[in-house]
Amino acid sequence: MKILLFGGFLGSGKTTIILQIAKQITEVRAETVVIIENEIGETGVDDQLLRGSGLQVRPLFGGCVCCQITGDLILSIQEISEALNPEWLIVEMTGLAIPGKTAELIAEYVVDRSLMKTMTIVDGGRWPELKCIVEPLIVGQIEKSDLVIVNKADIAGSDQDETIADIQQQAGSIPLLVVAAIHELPPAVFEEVFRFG
Amino acid sequence: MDKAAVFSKVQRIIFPKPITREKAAQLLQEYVLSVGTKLSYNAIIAGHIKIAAQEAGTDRCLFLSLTRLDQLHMKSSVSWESSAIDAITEIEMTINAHLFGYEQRAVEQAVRSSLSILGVAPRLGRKIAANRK
Repeated sequence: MKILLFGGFLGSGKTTIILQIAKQITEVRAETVVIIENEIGETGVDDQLLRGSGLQVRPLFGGCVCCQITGDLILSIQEISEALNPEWLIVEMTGLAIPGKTAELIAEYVVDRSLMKTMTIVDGGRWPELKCIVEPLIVGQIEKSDLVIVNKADIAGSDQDETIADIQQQAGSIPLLVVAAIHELPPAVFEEVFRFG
Repeated sequence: MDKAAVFSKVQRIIFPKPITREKAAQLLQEYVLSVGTKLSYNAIIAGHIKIAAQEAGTDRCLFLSLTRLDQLHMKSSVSWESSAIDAITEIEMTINAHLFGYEQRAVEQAVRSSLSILGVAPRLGRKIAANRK
């Protein structure tokens, strides 16, 4: 079982991208996938959306898996691995989680780090404003990720080049892909997400 | 950096008379935009406001997401689009508002005061969670 950890700030487009990745797994690769949906609140919206698309979803609500309910995440991964053993497990973290930190915790207790990949989705359209308000969080989410996907780049308008350059600087040597707020991800994103080793 | 206000709530909406799906979608869009306008910063939401509206007793569902005032995203379940029945009397609305820059009470107030758009008295329904991280 390989694990795809998706992080990124609130509203960056994680669920929309996960929906496409999960469909690629089931419909194109003909492989199995289970999704863990983490919500900071006690009830969720995204799990309903994913489940409504026919996907198998395990909710983890009422806290953030990277700092509040890490034990629940570890147990859920163990249970899914033993009971269902899907080829892929996707974890959608809350918009407040730090993907790199979560990966380290999972690697410490359940799965080898080489079987995990962390993706941080960055909202290119709101980057300048969010940087003013929550810079430590959104920069922390990029650090130690395996892949950064700049989403909604087309919404950045005339500042697009400057915004992407700034995000690229934060990402350093981490691979970075830029996508528009469109309905279909380009093949390069799928290739990079599924590339291990 | 401020802490995020985390607000989750399930609200049952009973319309005075049956409305079409198109009208329901329009009212829900107006509602989300109204909440978002009260909680925006330079026309963006420093977080997100999400709604799942499920027609009572069915699996027909509408999803709305707002991160900036000029772009409201809406998706629907297949059953919402394909249903032959086009008369909605009741929906269960899950609203998640997670954002920075506003106190919890301000978020609650924005959610509550906009309910009149949906024809609901502006009082809180079943509040699921109100905490701060």
